[in-house]
Amino acid sequence: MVNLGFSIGKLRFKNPVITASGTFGYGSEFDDFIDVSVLGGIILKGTTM
Amino acid sequence: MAKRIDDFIIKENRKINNDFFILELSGNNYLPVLKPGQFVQVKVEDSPETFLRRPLSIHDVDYDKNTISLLVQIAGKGTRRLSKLKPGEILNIIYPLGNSFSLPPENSDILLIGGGCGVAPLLFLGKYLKSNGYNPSILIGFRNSDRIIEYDEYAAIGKVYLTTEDGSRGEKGFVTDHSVLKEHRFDNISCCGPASMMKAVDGYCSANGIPCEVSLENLMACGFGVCLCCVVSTVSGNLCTCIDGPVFNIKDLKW
Repeated sequence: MVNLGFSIGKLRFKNPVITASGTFGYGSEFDDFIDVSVLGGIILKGTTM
Repeated sequence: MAKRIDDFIIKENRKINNDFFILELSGNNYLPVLKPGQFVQVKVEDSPETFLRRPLSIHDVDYDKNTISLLVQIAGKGTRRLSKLKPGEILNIIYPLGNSFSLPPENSDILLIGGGCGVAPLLFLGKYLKSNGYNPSILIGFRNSDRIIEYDEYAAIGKVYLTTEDGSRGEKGFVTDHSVLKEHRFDNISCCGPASMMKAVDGYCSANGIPCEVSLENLMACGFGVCLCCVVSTVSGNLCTCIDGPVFNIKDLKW
């Protein structure tokens, strides 16, 4: 299988499929529909710590 | 409860009047246990300008027939397209979404109040209450007699009080003008309808110390807590109508 992994700075992504900002919540909202772990990443619209 | 994305088959598309119709959907999979107040997100096919799904209350459920009914008001291009669906066509929905109405204490004297399309979740709620030993009454209001929706269905559940704004049937005025609210004190009220109506019901219930839940009809896009466009201000902060509601106790709302 082709390795689609890549890095941005220190961040390592296993593939380049990343959800667009603001379209995917925190990811957990989609647990009932898809296996979120297959994604390369999720971009948040914003968050608080 | 896990959410599903399922294709349903249109079993019947029944016109109520020029503005309302009822879709009866037959499930390919067995229905999960659904609760009154929950809603579904309907995908509108063949309507290129209708990008987002449409949130619709669960109007009725028949587990024996494995069907869900949705009461729909034609309000734009999406719902107009839905109004043209024919038996046998497929409708894709995400369900069940949102919370549900609470069961009041045993032997409570319950009133369900609905206005216009807001009567949608009250048929399922009324049947659910009746099957759980309650004997609810129903107060419904419409613009005029031509827009009355499923009166006989509600009458089969309990005593129905009716208002129309023009007085063409029932008492003239809004639901909050109905004489039963002055003559009788109910123990518990559940309500769905236009925001202005629900706020008026909130005022009545707050003034009379009657516990009340309302089902909000905020605009929403995703329906499961992603887009944050249906936020409502509450005593617990900003909450999503789609996942924290649509049913809220009036004492929690800051509106």
